Amino acid sequence: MISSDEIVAITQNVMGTMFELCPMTDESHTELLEGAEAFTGCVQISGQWKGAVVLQGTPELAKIIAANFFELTADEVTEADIRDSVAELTNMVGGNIKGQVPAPSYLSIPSVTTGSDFSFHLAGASVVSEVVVTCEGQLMRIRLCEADQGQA
Amino acid sequence: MRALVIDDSRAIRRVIGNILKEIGWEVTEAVHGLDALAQLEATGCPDLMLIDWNMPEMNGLEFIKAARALPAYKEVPMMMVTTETEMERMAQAFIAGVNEYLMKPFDKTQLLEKLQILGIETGV
Repeated sequence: MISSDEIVAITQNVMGTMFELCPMTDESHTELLEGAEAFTGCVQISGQWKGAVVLQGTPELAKIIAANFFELTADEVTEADIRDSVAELTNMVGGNIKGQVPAPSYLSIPSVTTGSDFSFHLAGASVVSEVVVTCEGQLMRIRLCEADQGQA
Repeated sequence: MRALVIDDSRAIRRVIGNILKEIGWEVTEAVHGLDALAQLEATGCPDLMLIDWNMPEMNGLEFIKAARALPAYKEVPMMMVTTETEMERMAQAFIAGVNEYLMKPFDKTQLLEKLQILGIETGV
């Protein structure tokens, strides 16, 4: 199974290469994401290994990522820019994690949710690894969920 | 010179498009394989195609097989740009007919290096 360190390394590689951002592990502020306004990006993996990769982070971080992707200032970023950027970030992190799980496995199209006061639950799956990183002073959590035994 | 960038991600289309425009290319975009086939029919063969793998409607591998089956697109350079990192997937793409393979994430230097491998002058 992929380790937390490997998930952090993949996230750092994606964000460093595409956005010139440097996320660092931070386990001290995870509670700040609970119930707060956040983005959630999710991509599912099917095949030999079944599960999902879920990214959750602050709206401010989503703006930074979108601004970087589309070469805009934070004030110019639209909701569509944020959705597209978070989707692609999720796709790249999820795709690189998929490369570390048993093959053949297949990646879904990413989904993105934004807003507050919602909970995210992946039916029939459990969190098997979780890391929290800080980037530009903003939090992001990456969760690897694996389908429970007997789940399709 | 014109490139067709085929990716369901607007963000990636923008990133690749900006790099290609910087080196003087015209760029057109398609959001999935079926869209790309329609554009090929409407606008003719570009000088380069950059193709994502995982897309709705028709994925990149299906598109490459369909395009390479048509005489007009047998020779045009094709590069897969994808999060698919497994060697088996890369082999599938080359067997289907791509000329180069670039894994996401990538930066400008890596994309330009791949273009140079394809014999494309990048000015770098």
